[in-house]
Amino acid sequence: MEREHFEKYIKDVTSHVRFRFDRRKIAEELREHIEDLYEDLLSQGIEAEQAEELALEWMGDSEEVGKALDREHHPVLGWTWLILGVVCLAVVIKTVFGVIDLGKNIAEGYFGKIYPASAQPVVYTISPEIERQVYSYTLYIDKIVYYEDGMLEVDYATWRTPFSRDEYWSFEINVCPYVGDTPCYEGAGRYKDGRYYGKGQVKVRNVPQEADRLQVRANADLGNGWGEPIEISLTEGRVMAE
Amino acid sequence: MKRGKQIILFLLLLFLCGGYAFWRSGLHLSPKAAMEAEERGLRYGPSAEILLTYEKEDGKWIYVGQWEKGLSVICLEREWGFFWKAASTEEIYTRCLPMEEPIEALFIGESRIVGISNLPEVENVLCYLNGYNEKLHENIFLKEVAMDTAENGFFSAEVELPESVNWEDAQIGYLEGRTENGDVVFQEGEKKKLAAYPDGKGYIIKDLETES
Repeated sequence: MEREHFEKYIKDVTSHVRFRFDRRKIAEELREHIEDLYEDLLSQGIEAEQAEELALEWMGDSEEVGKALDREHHPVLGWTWLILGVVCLAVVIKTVFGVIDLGKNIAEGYFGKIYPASAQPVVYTISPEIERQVYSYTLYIDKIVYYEDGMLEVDYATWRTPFSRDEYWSFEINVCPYVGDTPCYEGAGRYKDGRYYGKGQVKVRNVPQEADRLQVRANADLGNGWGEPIEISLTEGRVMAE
Repeated sequence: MKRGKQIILFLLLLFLCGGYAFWRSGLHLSPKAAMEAEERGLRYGPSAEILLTYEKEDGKWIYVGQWEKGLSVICLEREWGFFWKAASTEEIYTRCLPMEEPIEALFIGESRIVGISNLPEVENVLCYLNGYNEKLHENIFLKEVAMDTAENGFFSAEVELPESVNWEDAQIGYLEGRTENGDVVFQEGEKKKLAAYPDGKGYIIKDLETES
């Protein structure tokens, strides 16, 4: 019996709350509160019917309580909260997926493999450990390998910070070996992976073993012949293959 | 947490995520910033000075700037009315022109020649524009363009090509720098005006420069 009165009271109160999405929660809280009061009164030895009346009386006039709750749960604030919450959730999910994709991209580049440029035995290897900043890229020249068939391999890596506002253009280097002042360039292919961290290789064929220096250019894609070349000695730091 | 505090938290998160998205979007608040981002991405420049801007028929903009080593041509487009970004599929317009000679010029597509002179005495530049003819395997003369140089050495001119000519095949065949008195102090390329005339079986190519 008391349930019916309580439910009617709760319905009357929540009918004044204009932000419908809060009505259920308010109803649950009111129900809990009334039942606590009712149980408390019963425990004091008051008759059930009287306890019910007293509980509702103590809760106050349903219209007044409802209007007070409507002010607390104002629809403008409620709708602002709801719309912002939904938008925020969507944006955060999109950002999280974007960050995961970014991390995946960096990891793929970092763990990418570089394959030997030739199946022939290695004559010597140089690890120049050169690091240069080229705009938003950091260029690392990791290894130079010379093979018995005259193939010269230059392994390098680039790192582009994800926070850079510079437009993305792929970054590959050009290399040219020299014997003295004579260039001996015969391109044999190149590849480069990775948008942020990327590993790449440039191959030059028919390089004489007496080639003594290597010129590396990290030029603009659409221009040639400018920018200071990176000079690497091909005679120093050689580790001869056994 | 109170609803008001939650709204502040949502706004803060939106601001952070929105800022991050904008940062990575390639959108810029000014064309200069968009141009600089494109140039730096291409690893040259950025341009110290904008020399020329014009709007293409498709609503995209061409910005010509001068950087340390030469000219830079960047194609930009507006986004949502007030942002700028590099036009992604317009590589043919986006170029950098390093100064390898004292005077360099570039045909930047559809309608314009731009160039720069490092020779202070040069006041006028003459340019022969050629178009590659696939049938004849020859660069056929299209147009002669004379341009005055500005104080900073920059010169440019609008060029109207015949509709039959594919502007992507057009190139500068000859460049000449002249002083105020008309003395030629710089020449690059072959001073030829090759023209093709049908002769029944095929074509005869004549150099109008030597014939005149």
